[in-house]
Amino acid sequence: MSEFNSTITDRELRELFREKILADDGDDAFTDKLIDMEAKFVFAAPAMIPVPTGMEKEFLAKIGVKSSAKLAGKLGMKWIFTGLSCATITTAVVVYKNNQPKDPAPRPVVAAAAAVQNDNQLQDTILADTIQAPIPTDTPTDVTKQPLEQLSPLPEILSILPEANRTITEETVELVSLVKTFSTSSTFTSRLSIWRQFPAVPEAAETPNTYCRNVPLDYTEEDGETDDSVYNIDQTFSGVKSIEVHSDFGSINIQPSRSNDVQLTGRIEVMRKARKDPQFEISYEQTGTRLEVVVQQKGKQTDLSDESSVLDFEVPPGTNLILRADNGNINFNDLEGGNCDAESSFGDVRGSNCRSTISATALSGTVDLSKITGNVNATSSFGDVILSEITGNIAAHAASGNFIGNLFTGNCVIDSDFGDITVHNSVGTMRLTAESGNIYIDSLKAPECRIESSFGDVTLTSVTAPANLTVQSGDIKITALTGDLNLESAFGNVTVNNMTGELDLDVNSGNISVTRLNGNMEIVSSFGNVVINETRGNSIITANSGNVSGRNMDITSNIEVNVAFGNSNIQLKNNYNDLGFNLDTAYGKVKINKGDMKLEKENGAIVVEKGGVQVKASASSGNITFD
Amino acid sequence: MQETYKLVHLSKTDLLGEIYNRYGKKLYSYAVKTWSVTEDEAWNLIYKTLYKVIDTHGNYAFASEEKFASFVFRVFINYLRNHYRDEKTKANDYQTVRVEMSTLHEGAAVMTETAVNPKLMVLNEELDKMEDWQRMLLLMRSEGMAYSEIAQYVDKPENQLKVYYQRLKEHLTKKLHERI
Repeated sequence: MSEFNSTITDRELRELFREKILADDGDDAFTDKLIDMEAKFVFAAPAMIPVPTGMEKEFLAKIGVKSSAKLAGKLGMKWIFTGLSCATITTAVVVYKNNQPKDPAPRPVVAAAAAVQNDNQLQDTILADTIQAPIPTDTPTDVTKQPLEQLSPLPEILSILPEANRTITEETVELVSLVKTFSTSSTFTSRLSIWRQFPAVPEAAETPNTYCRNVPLDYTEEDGETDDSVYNIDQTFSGVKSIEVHSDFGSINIQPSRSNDVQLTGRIEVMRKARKDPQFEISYEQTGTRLEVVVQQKGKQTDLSDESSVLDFEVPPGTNLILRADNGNINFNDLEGGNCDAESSFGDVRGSNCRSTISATALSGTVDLSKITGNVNATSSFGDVILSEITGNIAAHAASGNFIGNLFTGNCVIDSDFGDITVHNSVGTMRLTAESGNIYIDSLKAPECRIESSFGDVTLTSVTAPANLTVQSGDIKITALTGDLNLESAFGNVTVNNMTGELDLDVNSGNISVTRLNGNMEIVSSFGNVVINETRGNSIITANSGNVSGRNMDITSNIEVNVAFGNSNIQLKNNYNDLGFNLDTAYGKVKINKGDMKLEKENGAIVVEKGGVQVKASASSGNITFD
Repeated sequence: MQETYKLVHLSKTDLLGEIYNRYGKKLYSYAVKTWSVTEDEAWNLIYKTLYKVIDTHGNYAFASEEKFASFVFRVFINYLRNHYRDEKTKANDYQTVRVEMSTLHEGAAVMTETAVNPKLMVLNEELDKMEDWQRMLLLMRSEGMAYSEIAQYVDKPENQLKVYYQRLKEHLTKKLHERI
């Protein structure tokens, strides 16, 4: 009995496999496959936790990759407003910085890097020492062919070189990334990650800068009586296919253009005292088909609460966008084609009615997207993620906020660290993970619904999908499910109503209620009562400690009820002439009261060899009653 | 002729940045969240991984981006293994000062042995006894794949996989109970 009650769970098994990855130095074929699959899981899904910005900046500086010099500094202030968690991160950054050696002696990691860079002999040693696992240079193994990529495909990192630049050897086609070479004066932190999604722009590397103006632009003192000053920009750009915007403060708005040109209208309003010491600048630079626009605060960093900035863009269809707002909202509407990557450190990201691939990130704000046709990647560290009417695959992460979704057509991978996940009216594979929060799903039609929850209730209503649930702690309520259900729950009550499909429950501690099930069921309960009502199909019920109660059960061919400590009381709809019994209890009464069949025995077994439906029950300590 | 690919011609810095953006962040979160590696050590691991990939990728050709990603991941895993091995060695070194020198090696061996997760030992033994399709079934299902997908890779009827899987888990459980 105990074997049933503590069968190793999927999660435990997965953890063991992962441990095997680290423990195995030999790397047999099976471990190779383990590593391949693990790689797919790690790279296919969004990062499980956000990377601390300050530490990332330090890291990028260490490897020589350009980053925004201002962002981290400003974040230090912003974290104060975002609560204790952020303060902890900031503290970690400070500690990290303080731990940097003052003298030229490098940290161990730097030493390692220097060795890799400068000492060829040591390079070889390190290579031999570290590249232990077989390198995948030949045909993929059977296991690594496809399956996970269907859920969340990796973006293509490489593509074949443009025809003019392609070098073809006998068996090697050399590839070129879509990453372009950027101006060395650039300070955009994440351009590489975004730019890679853009189509190749061969003109960009060949065309010299065509525009470059630094401002104050069209400085205007609006009213001598007020303290406000205004910087304006109104500029048209031709031949632009991609735009990258970085704004220290203020909002960025994107609207469609009626022409093929990009129209930029910008406005900064500052206080007179700030104007006396020029601190603000709008600059733009067009290089080939790429336009960069920067709004920045120069010189002494001051509180920007009295200043405002607005950048309004009108862009033609197919324009790729990288939008970065340190302190302000980002809005985009009616985009056609291209990619839009928007990230606000302190503000909301909102978009609607777009036919584009969207990546939206709000470190401290809400992500709100609606009527999007295209794949969507949405992340919020401290704020809600609200998506509606999305036609495309979705990858979303809400670190500390709720996820609310409605009307999805596409595969979804959604996870939340501290917040609820709610999804209405969705079609497509659904994979949800909630560390601490409730999950609500209704009106889902999907080839698969997979849910993992550590702490929180799970509620499914009107779902047509094979469902696989793993819940550590929380009540589970499932209503109107069409499809197989495989559920593992450690702590919490489970209620299933109106279900058609195979039911497989493994509940460690909690009551189980199943009502109106059309399909076979297998229930394992360690601690808790099992109540079943109006079911049709075969049943295997295993309970360690708790009562099992059944009403109006229509058995197709067999039912088996095994209880260690508890009573079993089952009412069958089948005709008694069709039933054969094998009932046995060590301590308790066995009773059959079905039609003309009235049998009773104490501390023993009753066996009736009859009929085509087999009824089997056992108890270590408890009564067994069938009627 | 099957095409194979090499990494792009970019400056070392650009390549580092690109590979970091593409894989580094996920490896960071993987190391910190899944393996509870400290943040500093996670950065160290990524640092080593990036430079190792940059310095060695030229030795290999890749059948696809997926294979390149696998290459990056394997480099990372090897460094992660080294990290854990070093940590274990440090722990053992720390312990060995408490024992007589004559029993140093024996003591270290015992400690190394006891440091291995007994469940993992049982799992390894049982996996060795299983057929390939059984191992695949355990692996794929535990990772959350649907039976319909798994059926494409093991030569068994889909509607039987659930039964096989449950039996395998129960078998493993039984062995774990017997041994632990």
